[in-house]
Amino acid sequence: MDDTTSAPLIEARSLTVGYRAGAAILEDVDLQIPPGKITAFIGANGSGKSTLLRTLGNALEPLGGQVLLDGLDLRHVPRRRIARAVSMLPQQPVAPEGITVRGLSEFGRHPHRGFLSRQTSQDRDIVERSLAAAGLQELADRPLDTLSGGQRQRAWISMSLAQDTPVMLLDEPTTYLDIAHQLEVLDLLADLNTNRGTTVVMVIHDLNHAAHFAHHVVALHDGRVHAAGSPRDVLTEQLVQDVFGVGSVVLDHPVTSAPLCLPVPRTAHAGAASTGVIDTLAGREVSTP
Amino acid sequence: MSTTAPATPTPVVSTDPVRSAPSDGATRRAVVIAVLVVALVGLTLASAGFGAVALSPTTVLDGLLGGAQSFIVQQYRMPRIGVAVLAGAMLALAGVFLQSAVRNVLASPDVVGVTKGAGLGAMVATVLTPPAVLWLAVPLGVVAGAALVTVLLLGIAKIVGSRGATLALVGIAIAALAGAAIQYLMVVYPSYADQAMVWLAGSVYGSTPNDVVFLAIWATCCVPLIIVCASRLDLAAFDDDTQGSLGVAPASNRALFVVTAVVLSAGAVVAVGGIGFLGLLAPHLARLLVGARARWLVPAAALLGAALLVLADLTGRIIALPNEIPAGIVAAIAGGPYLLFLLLREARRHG
Amino acid sequence: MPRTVHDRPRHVGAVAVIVGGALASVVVGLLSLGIGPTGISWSDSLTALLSDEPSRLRSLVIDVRLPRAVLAALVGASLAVAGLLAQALTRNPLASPQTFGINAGAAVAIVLATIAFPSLGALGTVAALIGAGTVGALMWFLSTTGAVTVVGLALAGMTVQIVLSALVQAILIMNNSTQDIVFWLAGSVTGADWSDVAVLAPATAAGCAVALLGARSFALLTLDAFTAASLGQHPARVAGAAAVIVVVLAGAAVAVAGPIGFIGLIVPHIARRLVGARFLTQLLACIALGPLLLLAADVLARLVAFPTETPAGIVTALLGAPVFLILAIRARRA
Repeated sequence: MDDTTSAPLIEARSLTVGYRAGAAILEDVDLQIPPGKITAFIGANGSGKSTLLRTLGNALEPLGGQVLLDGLDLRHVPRRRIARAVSMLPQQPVAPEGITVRGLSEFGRHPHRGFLSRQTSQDRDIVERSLAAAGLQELADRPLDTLSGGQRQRAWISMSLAQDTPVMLLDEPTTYLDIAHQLEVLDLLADLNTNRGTTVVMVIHDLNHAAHFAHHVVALHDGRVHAAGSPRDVLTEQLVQDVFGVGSVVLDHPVTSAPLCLPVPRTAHAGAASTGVIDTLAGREVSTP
Repeated sequence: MSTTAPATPTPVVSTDPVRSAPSDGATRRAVVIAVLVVALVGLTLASAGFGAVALSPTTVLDGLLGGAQSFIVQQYRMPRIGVAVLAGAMLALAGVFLQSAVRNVLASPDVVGVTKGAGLGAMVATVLTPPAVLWLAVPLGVVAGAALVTVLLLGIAKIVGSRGATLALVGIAIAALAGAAIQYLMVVYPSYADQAMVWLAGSVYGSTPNDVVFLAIWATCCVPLIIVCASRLDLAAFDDDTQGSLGVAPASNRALFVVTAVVLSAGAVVAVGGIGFLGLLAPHLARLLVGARARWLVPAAALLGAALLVLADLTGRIIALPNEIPAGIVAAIAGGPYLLFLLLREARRHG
Repeated sequence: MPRTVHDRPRHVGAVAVIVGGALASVVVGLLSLGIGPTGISWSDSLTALLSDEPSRLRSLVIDVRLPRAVLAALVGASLAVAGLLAQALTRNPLASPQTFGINAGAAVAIVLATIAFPSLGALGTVAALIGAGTVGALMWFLSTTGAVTVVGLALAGMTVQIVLSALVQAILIMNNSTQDIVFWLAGSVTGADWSDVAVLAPATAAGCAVALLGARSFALLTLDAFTAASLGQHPARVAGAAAVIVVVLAGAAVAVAGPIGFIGLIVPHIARRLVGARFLTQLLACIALGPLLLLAADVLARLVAFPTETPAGIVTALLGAPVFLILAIRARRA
C-alpha cells in the first residue's frame, strides 16, 4: 500500500491513446487529475472518454506519451503496486458465475494478498466495512445476478472499496441505470470522496450529473482536450454547441446552484410563451425565432 | 488508507467480531467430492475385476499385494486402470484450464487442435521411424506436435489479439489443418490407417506398468503448473479490464493456462492416444456438481475425468464382447448426446 | 427505375464475376480432363472428347474424367449455395454445412446405412439426407435461441462433428473396413461415374432453382424476424424452406462425394467480397465460383502426390483452414 501522505497524482504527458497504431483517438494530451477530487470526463460518443480512462488505468497501452503515477511511468511500475493505488470499474464488468456480493468484494483484496495466502482478519474487516459503506450489508450473501442494476453497480463499487485504493476510475457507472439508481451510485461516490478523500475519475454522459457531482470536468472533442476546469467554467452553452453540436440553455440549478444544462431540441419552437419563460429565467433578451 | 482523510470513516458497521464468510454450500460440495472419490475406487475395483477371468474385489486387493492372481492384476488390469485414472484426470484438468483461457465451455483439447496436433506428430513419427525406435519416436512426435500447436495458437493470438474467442477460432482452424494432414497421411500410407484409427480414437488397451510410471512422473512434474493455474482460475473469470484493475495480466494468464493444458494433454495423449473429449465433458459435469470456484472445480474435474475414463474403458470392454471398443469412442458416443442436451438446456435458459 | 452512377460499376462488375467464374470453371474443367495418373496431354483429351471414334482414350475421358469434372462442378455449386443459405439463415458468417456438423451428420448416416445394407446404392442419398437434416435442425434450433454467439455456435458445430466422427470411427473399427472409407471420409470425387452425377444433378438443379426463384425472400432472411414480417414475409416459412434447401444440397453432395469441407464456408465470402451485398448476385456468384474452386482443388489434389490420388477434401481443408481463420478474425473485429 502506498505510504504517501496524500492521494497519488495521476498525470498524462503528451499522451496519445487509441486501440491500434495509426488510429489515435486522442493525441498529445496533457492532463492532471486533481487528487482528492471528483473528475468527470465528458464528450460525444467516440470522443475517447473511455479510451482515455482505460489508458490512465493501465488497461490499454498508450500509443504515445506517458501516464505517470506519482511521477513514475506506469509501464515501469509493477502491476500489483498499481492495483493498490488505482482501481478501475469497466463499462460492462463480468464476474464469475454465481458469485455473491461478499465474494465479489473479497476479490478486491487480491492485490494486497500474497500467493496462496488465506484471508486475514484484517481483510475480512475491510470487506465488511466496504459492504457497509456501499450499503450492502443485508444483500451481502445474495448472488450478484439477483440484484437490481443499481445494487449491482454498488456491489462492484464495494469491490473497489475493498481494494482500498486512493484512486477510483469508473467507466460510465450510471449509463444503464434509471434515475433513482443513478443518484444512488453518484451519492455513494460523493460520500466516498468526502469521507475518505478518494480521488474519483468517471466517464459520464449526463452533463448535469457531472455539473453537480464533479469538482473538475474535462471535455474531450476532436482528438484533444477541449476544455478542463470547474463545472461552472467548462459547462457553457458554447461548449455544449462545440462538443455536442447541440443548442442549449445553461442556468443555475434552482436548488443546488450548480450549472444546469437544458438542451434545446431542433423542433422545440413551441411558442413564444415558453421561450419567454426560459429567457426570463436566464436573464436574457432573445428575439423569438 | 490515507492518514490525512478529511474526515473519519463513516462508522456504519458495528464493532462486533466479523462474521466469517458463510459456507456457501461448502459442506455439500465436500460431500460431492467424497462421493466422487468413493465412486472412483468402486469403479477401479469393478474394472479390475472384469475380464476373461472374473475377480472379486477381495481377490483384486489380494492380487495387488502379491497374492494369487497377482500377475493378472498387476500386469494387465491395474496398468490399464492406472493409465485411465491418470490420463482421465490430466485431460479433465486440461479442459478446465483451456475453457477458462478461451472463455467458452465448449473448448477442449480436441476442438482447439491440441490432440489433433499431437496425433499428427505421432503419425508422422510412426510413418517416418523404424519400428524399433517407435517407443521413443511417438512420445517425441506427440510432444512436438502439441508444442507446434501451442506455438501457433499463442503466436497467432498475439498478432490478432488474445481474447478468448480468438483463441477458440484459431484453435478450430488449427484442428482442421491438423485433421486434414492426418487424413492425408492415412491416404498416402494406407497400411498404417487401421492402427492410426484406433490410436486416434484413444484407448487404454495394452497399457503396461511402464506406462503408468511414465504418466505418474509426467503428472507429478505438472503439479506446480496445476497449482499455479488453479490459484488464478477464479480471477480469470472476470473480464479483462477488471483483472487488470486487480493487478492481474489477463493475456499472460491465458497463455499460462494454454501451455498447462497442452502439457497435460500431451502426456495423456502419449499414453492413451488422441482422446480429447473428456476434456470437454468432465469439466462441464464438474461445474454442474460443484460450481465454478477453483477450489472445488479442480479436484472434482480431476476425479470425474478419471472416473469417466475408467468407466468408458470398462464399458468398451463389456459392450461388444469379445471385441473391444476403444474407451475414447465410448466416451464420445455416450458423452456427446448428453453434452448436446446440456447445450440445448443452456441455450433455452438464456434465450 | 433510375439507376445511380453508383450502381452501374458494381452491376457490371458482378456480371463480369459471374460470367467470368462460369467460364473459368469450364476451362478448368476441360483442363482437368488432361490430368491424372495415366498421363495424357490436354489436347489429346479434348480431341478424344470431340471426335466420335471410340478409343481407349475416349473411354477414359468420357467414362472417368468427364463425369468426375462434372461431379466436381455440381458438388462445388451445391456446397457453395448451401453455405450461402446457411450463413443467411443463421446470420452467422462462420456457418457452413461443415462447421455446423451437417456434413458429419450425413456422413454418419451413410456409413451406418452402408454397413447395414451393403448394396444400398442410390438409397444412400436418403440416409445422407436424414443425417444432414437431423443435425441441421439441431444447429438451427441452437442458433435461433439467440443466446449463442457466433463463435459459440461454431464451437457447438465442432462438438457435433467430433461426436459424430467418433461414432463413425467406432463403426469403422468394429467393421475393420478402414481403408476405403478413410479415403471417402476425407471427401473426394475420385472414382466418380455417371451414376453419381445422375444422383446429384437433380438435387443440385432443384436446390439451385428454388434458391434462385426465392432469392428475394431469402434475401430478407438477413433481417431480423420482426422486420421481415413487417415487410410482409412469413419468416418461419422462408427460414424453413432455406433450411430444407441447405439439407438437400449438402446431404446429396456428401452422399456422392463424402464430406468436403470449406467450400461452403469460403465461396460465399468470396462472392460477397466480389459482387456486393445483393443476395441474388451472391447466389449466382456462388453457383459460378463453387465449381471453379472445387475443380481447382481436385486438380491440385491429383498433382500433390502424383501419381497417387489425394482426396480433394484434404486440399480444400489445407487451403481453407487459414482462410477460415482470416475470415473469422475479421468477422469478430467488425
